[in-house]
Amino acid sequence: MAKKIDRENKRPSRVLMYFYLLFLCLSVVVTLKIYSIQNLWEPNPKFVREFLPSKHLEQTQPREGSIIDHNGKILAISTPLYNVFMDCCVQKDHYAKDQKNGKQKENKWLSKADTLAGGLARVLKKQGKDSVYYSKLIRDSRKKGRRHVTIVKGVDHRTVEQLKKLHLFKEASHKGGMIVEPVYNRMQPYEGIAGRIIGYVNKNNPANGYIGIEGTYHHEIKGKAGTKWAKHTDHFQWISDIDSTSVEALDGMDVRTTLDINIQEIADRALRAHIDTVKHINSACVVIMDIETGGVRAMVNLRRDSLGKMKESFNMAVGRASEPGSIFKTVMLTTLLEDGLVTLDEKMPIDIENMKYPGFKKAERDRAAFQYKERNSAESIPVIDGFMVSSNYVFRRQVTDNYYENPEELVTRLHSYNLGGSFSFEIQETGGSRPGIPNPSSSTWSESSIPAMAIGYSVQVTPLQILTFYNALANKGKMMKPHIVESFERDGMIVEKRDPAVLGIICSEATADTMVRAMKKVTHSKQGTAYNSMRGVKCPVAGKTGTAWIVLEGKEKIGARSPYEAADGRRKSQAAFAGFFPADNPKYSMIVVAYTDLINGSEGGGGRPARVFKQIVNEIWAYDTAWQSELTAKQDMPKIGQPEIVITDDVPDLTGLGLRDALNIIEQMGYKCEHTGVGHVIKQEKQGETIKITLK
Amino acid sequence: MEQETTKGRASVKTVIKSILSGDILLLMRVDRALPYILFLFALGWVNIFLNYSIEQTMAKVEKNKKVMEYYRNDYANKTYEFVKAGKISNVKEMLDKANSEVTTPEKPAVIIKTN
Repeated sequence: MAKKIDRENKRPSRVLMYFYLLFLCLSVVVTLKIYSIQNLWEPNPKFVREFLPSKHLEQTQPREGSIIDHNGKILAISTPLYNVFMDCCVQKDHYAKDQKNGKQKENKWLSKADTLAGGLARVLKKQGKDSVYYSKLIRDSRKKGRRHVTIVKGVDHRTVEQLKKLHLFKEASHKGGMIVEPVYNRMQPYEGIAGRIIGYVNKNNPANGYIGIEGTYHHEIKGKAGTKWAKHTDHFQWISDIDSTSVEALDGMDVRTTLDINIQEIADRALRAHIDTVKHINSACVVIMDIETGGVRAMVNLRRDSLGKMKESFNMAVGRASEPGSIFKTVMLTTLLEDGLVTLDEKMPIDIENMKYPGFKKAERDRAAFQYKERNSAESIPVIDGFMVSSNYVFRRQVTDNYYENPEELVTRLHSYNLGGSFSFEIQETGGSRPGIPNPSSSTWSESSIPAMAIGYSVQVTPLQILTFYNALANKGKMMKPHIVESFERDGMIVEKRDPAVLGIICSEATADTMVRAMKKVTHSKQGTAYNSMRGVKCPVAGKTGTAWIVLEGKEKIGARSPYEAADGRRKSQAAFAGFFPADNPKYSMIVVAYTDLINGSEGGGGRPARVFKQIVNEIWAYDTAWQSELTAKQDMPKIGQPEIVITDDVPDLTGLGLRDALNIIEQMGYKCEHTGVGHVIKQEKQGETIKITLK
Repeated sequence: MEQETTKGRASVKTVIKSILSGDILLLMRVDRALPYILFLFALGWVNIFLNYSIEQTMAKVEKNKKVMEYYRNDYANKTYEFVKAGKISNVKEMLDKANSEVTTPEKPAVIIKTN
C-alpha cells in the first residue's frame, strides 16, 4: 500500500523528469550543433547566395553645385536629361509557354504596343517620326529579341512624365518594358551669354579643357563622392548598411559670382548690335566693373568663327595683352599730375620743331594738334585739350621731357599700377599673350621707348588691366582688385566669402578729380574725340578713346612696310573706349575694345566702341535701381462723402468685357457689382441694386 | 583511501544522477533565476524585432530617397526652364508674340513712397 502510494506520488515528477530529460538531450544536441556550425561546417555556396543577405560597396554621388550671379540667378545648373529605352521582349517567353491563351495575350500586347506607338509619335513630335515608325520598331525588335531599344535620348523630366502615362509604359517595367536612364548635364539657362566666363570642363583635354569658373572651381562645384555598404533584405530591397567605414558624400558648393546677368545681357546685345555685321572686326570685348568693390558685373568676349558668327570662344579681356594706344594716355597723365610735373592748364606751343623726339629720324607732325590749332586759331594747346583731342605731341613731349633721363622711375610707377604682370584674376586664359612693360636695363630698350610708351606703344596690357586703372581713378585713387567670385555657398549657407581687396593707391583724390575733369571733356566737349558718339547719353560719362595699330603676325609680315603696315598698306587696328559713369558719382567703369583684320584706314575708339559704350550706359541707367527717383506724398488725400447712388433700368450687355470695364460701367450706372470667376463676362444677372456677373 | 575513491565515485555518480533527475537545477536555484532567463529571452525577441523594424525603416528611407531624387530632378528641370524664360530677350519675344506694348524701360523706375 505504501509502495503503491509512493509510486502514485512519483508519477507526475516522473513525467516531468522525462520532459526534462528530453529537453536536456535537445540542449546538448543544439550546443554541439552550434559548435560544429561555428567551427567545422562550410555552407553550400548556393545556399549562401540564396539565403544569406548579399552586400556590396557602392559609391554615393554628390550633388553638383550651381553657378549663380550676384542677385542669385542661376547661370549654370546640373539637370538630368533622360534616355528612354524599351525592353521589347517583356513577357514574350511567358506568353509563348502559355499554350491555351498565349497567342491571344501576345496579340493584345502588340495591340497595346501600336497604341503606345501613336502616343510616342504625339509626345515626341519634335523627333519627326510617326506612329508607323514606332510600331514597326517595337514589333521588329520583339521579333528579333532586342531588350534595349532606344526610343529617344536627351528628353527632359516633363516629357518622361508624359511618356509614363502612355499605354504599356504606364504598367510595371516587367510588363511594359520602359527603361529610363538619367544623364546629368551641365546646362546654362542663358544660352551663350557669359559662356566663356561660366566656362566648361572637357576632361578629354586636360591641358586646355578647364575653362572659366567651371574649370577653375571644378572640384568645389563637383563635391566629393562617398562610399557605403548596401545589403539585400529578405524582401528583395537594397538598404544602406551603415558602419564606421561609410563615408558620406559631400555635395558641391554653389559659386556666387559678381556678375549681373541682366547687365551681361545688355552688354552682349549692345556689342553684337554694333559689330555683328561689320565683317572686318574679328573680335571684341566689353568688361563692366563695380567701382566700389572691383567686382566684374559683365564680361563679354566675342570672336568671329569660320562661319562668320560671333561666339564666346576666347577670353580677350584677360588673355589678350596688346599695345593699348591712346587709351594709355590716361595712365601717363595721371602719373605726370601725381608727380606734380604738369597741370591741366599748362599750355604747350604747337610747333613742328617741338615734335622731334629721341630715336625718331624726323619730327612727327601731330595731326590732332594742328587741327586744334586751326579750329581754335590757337598757337598753343593746354594739356587738358591735348588729352581731349588725343594729341600725341602733348604726351610724347611731356613724358619725354620729364622721364627720359630717369626712365626707371616711370617704369616703376607703371608696375605699381599692376600693369607689368598679370595679377591673380580667378580666371586665366591659356594660349593668349602676356602683359609686360619694357625694362630700361634690357636689350630691347631703345631711345624711342619713352616716346612710344607715352602714347601707349611698347607696353602690353590686357583690357582688364586698363579697366582696373580707370576703375581706380573713379574710386578716388583706390585700386580695387578685380574679382569674379563673391562667395561659396552650400544649401544657402555661406561656406567661404571673398571680400573685396585693395591692390594699392595709385594717386591722391585731388589727382583723381582732376583726371575726371579731363575725361569729361573727351565725352562732353564738342572737340572731344568721343563727343559725337556720346551725344544723347542719358547720364554724364567720363572716358577716353584709344586707337592702336596691331603688330603684324605670320604671313602678314611678308613684304611688310613696317611692323604694323602690310605690303599693300593695310593695317590691323585695336579701337577702344574706357571710362566710367555717372561721371560725378561713378558706379560702374567699363571698357569696350574691338580688334580688326587688315583694313585700309582704321577703326577709331571714338566710333563703334564709344557707341557701344553709350548704348550700354543708357540701358543700365534705366535698369539699375541706384538711379530710381522717389515720389513722396505732399499731402493727404481729401476725404469725399458717400456718393449718391442713382438706380437706372437700362443696364447694357456686358458680355465679353473684362472685369475692370464691366465694373466701371456698372458703378457708373449706379449699381453694386458682385463677380465670380476670372476672364471676360459671360453672364450677367440683375438682383435689385446689385448686378451679378460671371467671368470666364 | 578506498573509502575516498568510493566517495569520489559516489560524488560523480551523485552529480550525474542529480543532473538526470533535475535536482541540479534546484540545487543551483535556477527557479530563482527564471525571471532573468525569461527577461533575456524577451530581450532577444525585442532585439530581433528591432532589427527587423530597422530594416523596414531603412527600406522606406531608400524608397523616400528615390522619391526625393525624383522631385529634385523635377525641380532642377523646372528651375532651368523658369530661368531660361526670364532672359530679357525671351521675355521680349513672348511680349512681341502677344502683341504687347510693354517694352524695356527707357528711364529708371519711380518709387512711390507712402507713409
